[in-house]
Amino acid sequence: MFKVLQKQLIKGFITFFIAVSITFLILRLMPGDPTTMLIDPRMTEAARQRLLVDFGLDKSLIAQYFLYLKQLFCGNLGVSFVFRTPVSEILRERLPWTLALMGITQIITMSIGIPLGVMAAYKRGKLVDQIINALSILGMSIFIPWLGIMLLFLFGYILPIFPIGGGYTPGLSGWEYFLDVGMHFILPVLTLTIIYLANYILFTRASMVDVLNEDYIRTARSKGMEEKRVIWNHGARNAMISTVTMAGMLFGRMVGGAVLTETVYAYPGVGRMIYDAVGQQDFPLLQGSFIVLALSVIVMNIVADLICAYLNPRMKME
Amino acid sequence: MKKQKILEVKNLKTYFPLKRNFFGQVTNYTKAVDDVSFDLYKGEVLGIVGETGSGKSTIGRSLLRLVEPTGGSIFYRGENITEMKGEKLRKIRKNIQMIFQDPFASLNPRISIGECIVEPMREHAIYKKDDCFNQALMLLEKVGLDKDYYIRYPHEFSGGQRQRVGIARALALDPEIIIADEAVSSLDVSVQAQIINLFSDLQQELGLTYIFIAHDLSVVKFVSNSIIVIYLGEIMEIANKEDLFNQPLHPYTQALISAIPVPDPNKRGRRIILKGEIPSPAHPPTGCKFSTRCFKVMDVCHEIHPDLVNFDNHQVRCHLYQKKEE
Amino acid sequence: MNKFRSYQQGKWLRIGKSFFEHRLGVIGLIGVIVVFLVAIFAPYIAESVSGYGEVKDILNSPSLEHIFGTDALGLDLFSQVIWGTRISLQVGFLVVLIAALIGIPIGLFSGYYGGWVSTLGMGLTNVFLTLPLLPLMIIAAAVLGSNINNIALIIGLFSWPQIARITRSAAAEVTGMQYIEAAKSLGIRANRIIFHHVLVNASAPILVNLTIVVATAIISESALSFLGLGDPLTWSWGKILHNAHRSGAFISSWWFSLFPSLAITFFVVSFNFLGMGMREALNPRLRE
Repeated sequence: MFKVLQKQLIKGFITFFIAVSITFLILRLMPGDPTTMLIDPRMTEAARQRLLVDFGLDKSLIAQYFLYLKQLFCGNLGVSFVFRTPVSEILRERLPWTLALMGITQIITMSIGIPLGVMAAYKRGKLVDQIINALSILGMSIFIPWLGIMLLFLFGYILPIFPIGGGYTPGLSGWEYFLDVGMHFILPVLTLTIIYLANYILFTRASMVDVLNEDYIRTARSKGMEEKRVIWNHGARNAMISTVTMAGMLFGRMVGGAVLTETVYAYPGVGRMIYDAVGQQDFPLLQGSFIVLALSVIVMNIVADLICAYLNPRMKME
Repeated sequence: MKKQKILEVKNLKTYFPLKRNFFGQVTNYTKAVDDVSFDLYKGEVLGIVGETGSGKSTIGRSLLRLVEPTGGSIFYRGENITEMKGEKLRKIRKNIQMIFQDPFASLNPRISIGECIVEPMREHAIYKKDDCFNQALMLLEKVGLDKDYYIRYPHEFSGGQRQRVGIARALALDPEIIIADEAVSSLDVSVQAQIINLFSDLQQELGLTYIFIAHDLSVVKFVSNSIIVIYLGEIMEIANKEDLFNQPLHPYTQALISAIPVPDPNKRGRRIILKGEIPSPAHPPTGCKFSTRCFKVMDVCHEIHPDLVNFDNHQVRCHLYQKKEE
Repeated sequence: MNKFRSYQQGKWLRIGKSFFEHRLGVIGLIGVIVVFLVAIFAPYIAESVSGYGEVKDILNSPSLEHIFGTDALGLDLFSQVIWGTRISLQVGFLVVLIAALIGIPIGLFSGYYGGWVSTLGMGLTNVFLTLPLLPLMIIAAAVLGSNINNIALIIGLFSWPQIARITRSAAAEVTGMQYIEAAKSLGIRANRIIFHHVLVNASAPILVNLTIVVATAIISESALSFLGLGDPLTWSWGKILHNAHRSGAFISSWWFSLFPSLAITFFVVSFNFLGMGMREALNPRLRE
């Protein structure tokens, strides 16, 4: 088990390293004046010069790279153009909201998606399966902002059950605060769930179809085992292993959806922050947001792989 | 007529790594081919016979460098081809070709059979464009297939026909040596006979030299001039056909010969049945590798590994005959 | 020799029949054909609009004159949606091209050679598949500028890993076949083996994934345009939605957002269904 963790940590580190380097490359190698990427052109000349030296923009590319890595390692993600405060502080405040949103969605989509996928695989080719397939793909193909706003409209205006966006109502505390946050939470989670449920359904279904074709399933059936047990104990468990592996990667894809959802709901997470930052050309904030999200996703992947290793007896022995 | 040595194999070893420890170093090997040496003369047919897992196919693949030998050397017409790479190896490939065991898997399902014969000709630029086409048609005829079959695809043919295509393809480059790796094993018996006859005819017509790998001694008996008996990657006996069948020295050979079905009930001898099964090549027995199944086993067989001993071009690896060499 | 090429019966007929048995695949195919037809015949269906419309026409709900209504500038929405089809196909095509050009060779070499080549190729692929791509595309688009071809380029550059992965597994499977070994023994050059023998036999799953890449490309492009990174000059469906959002009339002028969203969904669903149908039809194990 420890060996698995080791391997995962190395993989994660390399991934993070590449992610960080790509960001560096994109921002520094673009045409035109690289200083505008990192130093607010609206600053005074003196302040700019100082920052120029701070960021090492007067040095060679390689030197800049190492300086960048060093700063990153110390947790320095630069200073936001718009807010004039360190990016890391801003993100520290907003990240938990996004992680909560994504985390809960992840749990819900897996809890509903996997059983549905198993069922669809079991009834492959029949009407139930085709309906589930069709609805899944439909769900996947809806334009996220549109879905978000429609839900908002339906349940915020027409049936005023839920609040119209935001993360919380200011001025509350304690139990009331939690309830309030919960209410604000529901529509964004619903939006994301509808979109990403399909991934789990379709993937589980595909794995199950392969598993159900294997000989050991036929053996279990011929031994007279109850059908339900055959599917669940033997079939689903194996299909689930590959699904859990995927869960890590699907988490990464969910970030995109989160960005759009938060934008539409004005939800105070990193996603919405990215939208605002783009509008303001606030590059340090953009860069920092990506790095922080990448890190979260990488950690999630490591967790998923560890769970996988725990579930998979074959992998444990490697 | 003086015999020309065209292939010389010296101490060929092909090991496959089994386990790696944490640092990536290999700790255990499967010794598929373990110290095999023989010579091949122009125009002759060398049969290599052995059970499944004996390493006979691996010898063929090692000669063609489809699998990399771990040790020893292979000389084709005096040139050391063991470590050749790149363009040089490609050129040498023209001279030694293989016919594979599975007629269904050895042809690309997406190309017509004519195309698969022509392709190697084009790759090596042997003939001019139009000549390639004509050559291919001629080869199809030579292996007994209709010229019209050129445009058809593999799935339209039977196993025996596909094997003929495989032969035609192997002949495309006008090779000197052809290695038939269990080329008839997966065919029906009646078809086997046809293909074997084809082999003989082609050999006489084109002056080919064969290495015929099989597990069936009766097939090998029919085609070969000399025979090598392999067990667990080692040569147990080499002799020319007459000597081997008239006077089989190694107990394993004797068992194999006794297993050949004989139609005349009066001429049938006692069938020797070997006990046990062939051990795993990863964990061969100590001493003589055949010791666990030998019906003439002695104590020394379990302890000391016997060397190959030569009796006037009849070599055998067995303790029964070691005593004579003092 | 080409005049001798015969009609290869059997296999393709079976595949075709199998495809049409799968309802979703057929629906997808029809949808894709509709998309292509609309794009090709756009000038005959609706007049292209640009610039500013008349004030009286701003945000009109659907009527006989404007089937989909009008937008915040007074321009006809029906026309915008129809012409947006061309943009979508253009983006889809470019993205698939780039993803294929990068992803297929990487996958082929990884699958054929194995060893360190595969470790390197798949390692790189996995890194990209793990990372959240939309934020990265956002940064890239913000930096490189929003011109429709740049956007397609960026999306393509982040779509190749998907193709590389499926190509590698298909290539590895084919490489294990005896006819590839035979090709090697015949002295056929490695590049020819890879790009002719392996690729041709591995093409089925690759094509399925390329179809799906078209769908995800539009999802990405719409997202980027919606967030404001789209090409200001070419109005893709995502751009129309961006305009809708910015105008503040997203909900009150429901037609403004509904029709472009429907177009996106139609496009994406069609290509996905087509891909699914292809996958079921081309998988020999399932065709029992």
